[in-house]
Amino acid sequence: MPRPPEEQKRPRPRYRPKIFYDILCSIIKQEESAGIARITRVQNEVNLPSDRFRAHLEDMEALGLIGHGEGLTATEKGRDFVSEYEKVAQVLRRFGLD
Amino acid sequence: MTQRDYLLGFPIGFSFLALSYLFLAVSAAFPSVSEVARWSDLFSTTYGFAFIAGTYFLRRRGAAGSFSRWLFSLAVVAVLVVILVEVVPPFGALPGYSAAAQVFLVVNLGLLGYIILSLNQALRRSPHEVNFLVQMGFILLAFGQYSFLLWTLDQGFWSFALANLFRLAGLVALLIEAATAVVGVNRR
Repeated sequence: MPRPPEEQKRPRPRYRPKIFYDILCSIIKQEESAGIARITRVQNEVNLPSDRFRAHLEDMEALGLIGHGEGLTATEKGRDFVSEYEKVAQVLRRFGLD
Repeated sequence: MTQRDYLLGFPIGFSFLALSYLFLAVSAAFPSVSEVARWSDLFSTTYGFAFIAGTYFLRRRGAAGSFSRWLFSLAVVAVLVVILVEVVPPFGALPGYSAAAQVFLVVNLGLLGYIILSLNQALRRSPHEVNFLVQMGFILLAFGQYSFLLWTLDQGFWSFALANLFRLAGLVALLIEAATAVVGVNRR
């Protein structure tokens, strides 16, 4: 019996660099549109439970990818990470590996 | 290590392939070390294809955290190959290059067949993302290995020339594809 489509195409769990990338993209998008990236909006956009989201933010801050003040900010290193991640992801997609 | 650590097999595989091109050039340019370079070319090519095929295999299986196991398996296979090469008579001596090359080339063709099959499935799954040029590159590499296999049998000029021509064409196709992907991201 054929399985329903949603069961056949269950999304793979995101890995850490992908989560970092999603968080940074959300921050950059909000900085460009609203001038400031609010934590709750970023969390909603990346769709992560609060405890895991906070843990990732701490890791990213320790790595110098984001800054944490009134809102969240993407550092220069964070923007470089986004650019490099996109290059690797694009090559992997074209080679059928992503 | 992440659950996608098997993707490390991809750059490792291409590094081995890059080394094999280097050994090929050395074997042509320096006749004094030609024998060693040709053997190194044989090993590095097979290892390169094995790592790339392994990456596709683990990608299809959706394996998590199994890259170290895969690396360990390859190391065991490498040791076994060396033991077999040394133990099979005449003891302690390497078998004739042509005879060994035939075994390696058949293995390479099998690995390339698996890579092409995996790419074909990925191409069907997401035709707008996976590029046909990638598949073409691996097909050219397979033609190169096949021509090289023919050369080990007939030692003819054309099979040797075509083997190297296909091999270079495959490399160019894959390099163009990787470069286009990176340049495309930079332009955005």
